[in-house]
Amino acid sequence: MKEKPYSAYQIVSNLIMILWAVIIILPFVLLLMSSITEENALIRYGYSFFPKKLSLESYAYILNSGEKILRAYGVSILVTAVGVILNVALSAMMAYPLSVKDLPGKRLLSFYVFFTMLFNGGIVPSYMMWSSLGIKDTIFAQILPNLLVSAWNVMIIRTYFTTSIPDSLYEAAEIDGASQFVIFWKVVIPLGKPILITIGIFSGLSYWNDWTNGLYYLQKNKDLYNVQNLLNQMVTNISYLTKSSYSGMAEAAAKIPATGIQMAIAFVAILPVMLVFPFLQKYYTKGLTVGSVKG
Amino acid sequence: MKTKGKLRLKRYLPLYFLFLPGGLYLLINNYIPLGGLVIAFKQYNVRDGLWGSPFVGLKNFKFLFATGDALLITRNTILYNVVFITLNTVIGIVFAIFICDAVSNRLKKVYQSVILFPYLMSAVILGYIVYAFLGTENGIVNNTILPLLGKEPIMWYQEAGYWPFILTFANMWKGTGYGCLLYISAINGIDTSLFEAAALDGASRWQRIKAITLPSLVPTIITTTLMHIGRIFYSDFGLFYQVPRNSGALFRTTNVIDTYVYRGLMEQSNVGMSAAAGFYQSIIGFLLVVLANYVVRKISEENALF
Amino acid sequence: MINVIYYIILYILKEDYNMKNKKLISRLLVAAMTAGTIAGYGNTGSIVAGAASEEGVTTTSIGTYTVDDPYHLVFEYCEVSDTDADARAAVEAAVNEYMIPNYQIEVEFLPMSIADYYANTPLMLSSGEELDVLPIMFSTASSWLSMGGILDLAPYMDSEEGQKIIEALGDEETAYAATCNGVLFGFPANKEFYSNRGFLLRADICDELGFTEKYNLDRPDADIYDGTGISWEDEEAMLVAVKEAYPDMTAFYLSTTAKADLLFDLLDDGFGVLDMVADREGTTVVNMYETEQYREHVKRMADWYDKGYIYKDAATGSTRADEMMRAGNTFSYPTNIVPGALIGTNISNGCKCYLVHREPEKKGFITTSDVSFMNAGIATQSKDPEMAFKFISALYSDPTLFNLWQFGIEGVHYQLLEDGTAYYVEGENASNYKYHQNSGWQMGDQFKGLVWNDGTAGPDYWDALKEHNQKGDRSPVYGFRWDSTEYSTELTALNAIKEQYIYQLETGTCGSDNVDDLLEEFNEALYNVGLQDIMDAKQAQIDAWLAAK
Repeated sequence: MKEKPYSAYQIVSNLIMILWAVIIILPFVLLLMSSITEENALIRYGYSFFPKKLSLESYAYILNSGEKILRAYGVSILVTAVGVILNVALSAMMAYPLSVKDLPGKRLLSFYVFFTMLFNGGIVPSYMMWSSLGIKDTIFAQILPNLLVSAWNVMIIRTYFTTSIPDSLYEAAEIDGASQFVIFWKVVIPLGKPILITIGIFSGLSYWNDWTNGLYYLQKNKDLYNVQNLLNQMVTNISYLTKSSYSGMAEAAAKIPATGIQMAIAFVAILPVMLVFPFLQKYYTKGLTVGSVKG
Repeated sequence: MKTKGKLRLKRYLPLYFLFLPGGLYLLINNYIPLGGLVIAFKQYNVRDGLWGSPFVGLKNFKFLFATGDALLITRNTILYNVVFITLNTVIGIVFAIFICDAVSNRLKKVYQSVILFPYLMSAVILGYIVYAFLGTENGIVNNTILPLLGKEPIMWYQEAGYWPFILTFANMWKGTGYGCLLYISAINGIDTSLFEAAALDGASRWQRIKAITLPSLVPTIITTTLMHIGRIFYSDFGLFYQVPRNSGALFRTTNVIDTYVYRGLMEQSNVGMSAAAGFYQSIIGFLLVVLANYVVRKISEENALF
Repeated sequence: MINVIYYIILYILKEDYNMKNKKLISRLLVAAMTAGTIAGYGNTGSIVAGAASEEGVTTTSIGTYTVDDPYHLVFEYCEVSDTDADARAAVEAAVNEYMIPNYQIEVEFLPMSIADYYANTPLMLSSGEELDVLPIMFSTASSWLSMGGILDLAPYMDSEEGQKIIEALGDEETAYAATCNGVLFGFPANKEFYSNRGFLLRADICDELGFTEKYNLDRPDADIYDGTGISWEDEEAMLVAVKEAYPDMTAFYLSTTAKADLLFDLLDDGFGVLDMVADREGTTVVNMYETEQYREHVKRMADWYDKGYIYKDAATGSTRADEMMRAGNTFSYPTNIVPGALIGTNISNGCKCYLVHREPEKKGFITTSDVSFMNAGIATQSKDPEMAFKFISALYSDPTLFNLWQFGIEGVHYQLLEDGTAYYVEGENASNYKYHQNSGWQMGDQFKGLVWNDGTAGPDYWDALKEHNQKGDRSPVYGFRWDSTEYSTELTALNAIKEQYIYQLETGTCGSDNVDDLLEEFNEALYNVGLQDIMDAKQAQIDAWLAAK
């Protein structure tokens, strides 16, 4: 294979993908450059790939909050890790029964899951429900509400299980006398790895990006704020401080690089994930061979 | 008979157990709070509570149709969704195939990481970035690119005609990664021996894609499309509000149900009306999806959602 | 099925809530009885409004509180400055050291960032969590009231505490300004109650092009209204000259957040207003977007936009005007002027600037909504509203409490300067302080508190503001607020339409060629969704209110 020259298809397809990658990355470069542009230059000349004047003031302002931001990173990492594991486990456990062909009540159960994607009762009843379970101001507030199981993910996993795991495998396992739990653990999970990892990544992204849970359910214990909560709080406070015409704020407001800091804040939240992505790759670049599991 | 029933139970009971924890979670997180939907039909107040507050019929829904724009907004919402679903599916599949056929593993890793990056960018920031390109005073397009091409500057934020394209591109930029990754995992799930056998038989790459890859993606395509139909009256609020910067001159092509509701309610937080808007968006999606699911069931039962 | 489950859960929750209340009430009763015997003060109940306080014992119609068993009060406020949690706890302890012996109130701080405040307060109100005193924005008051989250304070006004609040705010009209649908939901913070319209101009260019002398711009008291100023035409003449001398400069900066305020009493929502230019004493409700004042203004802006004076991205831009000025390529922008503004703007604009009043014959005026922008109110779930009311009253009458809450402990978090103003202690400044709120604009009587001397305000700052307030004219319907509950559908539609037009019109970006058509289209759209009904309803309510007065 390797000695063969690249085919026209390969050249074209790779060129397209490289172009697309550049299109995706350019805005991020612009984001980075504007976060290190000097505030006045940023306002006067706008965002530019080649800023006229550089400054790290925005980052200095963020770092000023010191250990708060470190703790917030800690919370984000912990919550994302725990959340992803629970999310993938629960979703796979729900998806497998829904993929079993002749399970009685399967349609009803599928509908039960799917329905939650369409209707929601709004924030007030959810809030009352979860606060009555006592999650407020605890770490569970960052993990439990909304993000733990998503109907969307369950349906996607179910489709994968239905189509990519051959029925013959189940039958073989059942003839061997394996219980459903064993089949789930020994056959379904290993074969479902590509989709489970994909879903894990998406669930990880939603945990990492979430700021609503912290906003609603952490009222007194701000120590459990994640990165997004902290940055969100910073942005709103700054925009408030600097918009306010009231006395006594001018001194504080004049010192804040209000525009650049939004960019810096966005970059601070993004960077760790961008760095982690390539390391996740090895888990899902390789195709699986059904035969290898069979054997 | 008895033993058969017992066998069945023995076979299926564990499956119900597997379903149970997630099912309970949905009960707590989704089904119980669903009672809040009645707020859409009530003049809600805390003292009387959810059930005691007086019924007002469909009054809370009236505002959705109060302006002459109701038709335009609905049309925009549906058209954008149709375009987005189609494009994201087609491009997602094409890119997934490209990525799986990448010339080197290193490039493959780069592609797969990069297509996910847009997921990290919030709509607010995306709005700033688009503005950095299209702004009139300082925009990169007007200041650098168009002069290079010898063209006159364009007032992007005042010309509604450009925005269907801009928003579609922005949506593609942001959303391709998701579908793409799903299709990659579906392709990764294909038994590689199939490809090897086909290659041995002398099938061309296109033949292999047509005969093996595409058919194996169909279930995923149907599932995601059905789910998108359920949300066809919803749209990505950030994309339609932050990216066009709330520019009034663009409303003809940028106003969707979500932005209309937001603009109407932002100065008076009315729980009844926002619940009504959500209910309206959901019920239409629900009816459509039940219909679509019925059709899918007729054609191929195993691909139906329920 | 779902509903049944829901009922059950709600029932359990409610039971739980009732149980807690029962326990609490019995605890309070026991406390009241013991307190009564110890202090020899047996009079429980029978006080309708206001709490009786005597030698470390306070009795209300609900309970009796002593130094040993004070009322636990949860006090929510907006915290806009980063504050160290330990320092806040120290201040809270200091507040209680003072409050328990003097008021038998144990205060629990519940600070909220602005984002938290908006998101959490409605949830806390609707789920009945422990909360007593909170800031209430006038714009959210009606929805919080209609969901039954906040209390009517009128029943408590007929008391010593109520009198103190009226005294602090100057008169009954102001004390009752935060009234909505006949319910008194809070008290405005004492602050500047109105502003005058004006322009801000960059000083060096004014000097260079000779504007300074021509219009007598360089005056240290330019922020005090004295009947002098310039007209729109004067401003335009300056813009012409600036554009000629500096073609690349933004002569007149406008954005979605920096637009010129006109002279209307908006009557809350801007749909149906009083035109204060056409008739300063009039009480006839008109459509703002059809008035001569509005039409003239948007046509002028469109003309200026076409001539290139106005920032091209004005209709979508959100950069603040002072940031723009600091970046060094802007000559002027419209602004509102209050006493003390001159030094403040010089700092925030990063350069020497002149302030000048616009159309001085059109002075600013006091409206209900400006005065009651943010107010101190009581949550429905307060276990003893009389005690909460007592606390609010203290915010308006007891500087010790107010200063502690706002600036922390003297000598630890702030120091008193020689002239009686306050500033950070040695070694601390705006970027490394431990405790600092300086947010008296949300609740309480700032004028009784300390002046924060960061260079923008001197010892006579509060006096200047008081004088400014006294000199201000009041809108003919000052104190009136309209009841919009029946019109929420129309208002929603009107707001949605407004968003489409006002930025294009008020920043001039629509251009002179389109401005008339756009304005006409706008008005037509407004009338189509019921503007006339709203105006009629407002008019009827105003007439009734005037008649009752």
